[in-house]
Amino acid sequence: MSETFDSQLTTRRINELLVLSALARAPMHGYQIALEVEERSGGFFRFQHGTLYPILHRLEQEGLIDGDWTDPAEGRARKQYSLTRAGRRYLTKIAREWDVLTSQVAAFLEPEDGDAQVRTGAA
Amino acid sequence: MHRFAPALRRVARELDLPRGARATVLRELAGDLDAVYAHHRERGLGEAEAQRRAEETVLGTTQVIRRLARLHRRSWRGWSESMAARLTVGADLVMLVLGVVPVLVAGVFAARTAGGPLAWIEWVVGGVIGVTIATGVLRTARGQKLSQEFLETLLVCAALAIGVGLLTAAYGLHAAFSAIAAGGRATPLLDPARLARDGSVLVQGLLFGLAALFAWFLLLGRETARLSAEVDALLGPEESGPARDADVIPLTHGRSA
Repeated sequence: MSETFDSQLTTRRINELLVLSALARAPMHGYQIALEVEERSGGFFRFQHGTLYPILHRLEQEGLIDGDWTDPAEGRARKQYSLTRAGRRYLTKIAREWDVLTSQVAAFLEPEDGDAQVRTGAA
Repeated sequence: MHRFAPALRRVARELDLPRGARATVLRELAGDLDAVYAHHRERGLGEAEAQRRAEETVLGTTQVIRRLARLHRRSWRGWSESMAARLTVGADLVMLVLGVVPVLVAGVFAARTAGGPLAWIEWVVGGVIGVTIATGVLRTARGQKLSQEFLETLLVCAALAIGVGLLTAAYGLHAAFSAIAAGGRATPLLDPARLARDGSVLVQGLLFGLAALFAWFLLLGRETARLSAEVDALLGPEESGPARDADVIPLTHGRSA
């Protein structure tokens, strides 16, 4: 990956990161992914109004996740998703991109020495 | 009637897709709605609140549903299902009897003179195709479902049959030209027995492949019809009259990820 992250990390990329990292733990149904993301983020991220499904179906079409129907003993058949090998590689790639982006932003927000001295002097 | 039938009907109206693809999406949403509802009920929420939360999580706004529809319209599967879904139940049976069976029989007939190192593979693939078609027809006749893997078996067999046929022909040509290059004798290329043998494997492979592709298409149509009927039963009868305000899914996204 280029160290100059010229394109913004879009909402799409964050969505992919959330879904793929949830599936990296275990295969899950769509609703489980939504709940997992919500619970793991303490409610900060929430897939509402079916926004999860276009993401899942696109990732499935791109071969990053696999969707299989499971027939439980009770209740309706449900579609369970799992991460493919390509999905795991892609997750590693975008997680690394995310690390670079957040560290770049953190470094940018870090106060410079001059700023720190001004503040210290003011205090 | 399913607890979420009215809400799913609203989604179904917006989901402008071929029957099969539409049924697949609705089936997934229905399963997840049930599961989210059960999840919230287990955590002590009342019926109405659990239902509201499930719909909020799973069901899309008009924009989201249209995005979903666009995704599936572009896919190869959506296209093939939409073509297969146009077949009626009577027409597909006629096509099976008049199309698939004669092609398969012709493949067996062509194989009488086939031979060579790869011919036996063609027989095995042909056998698998025959058994898979028969199993698929029996299952659909009993109203049983055909899994995606089952249908894909036919596609894989078609590719194998055609591939082995082409490989045999290519191998025959390669052997002939190699012999000519080495010894200057044109006999292997012009050997009618060998030509007939390799040609038979090629024709056999093409016919078996064609039969498998044709059968896949017909069985896909049957499975699409079965799935659509299942989802139609899930949705229940369409309510008449214009949508009330409460039926309209809000377009706001909230704090969605």
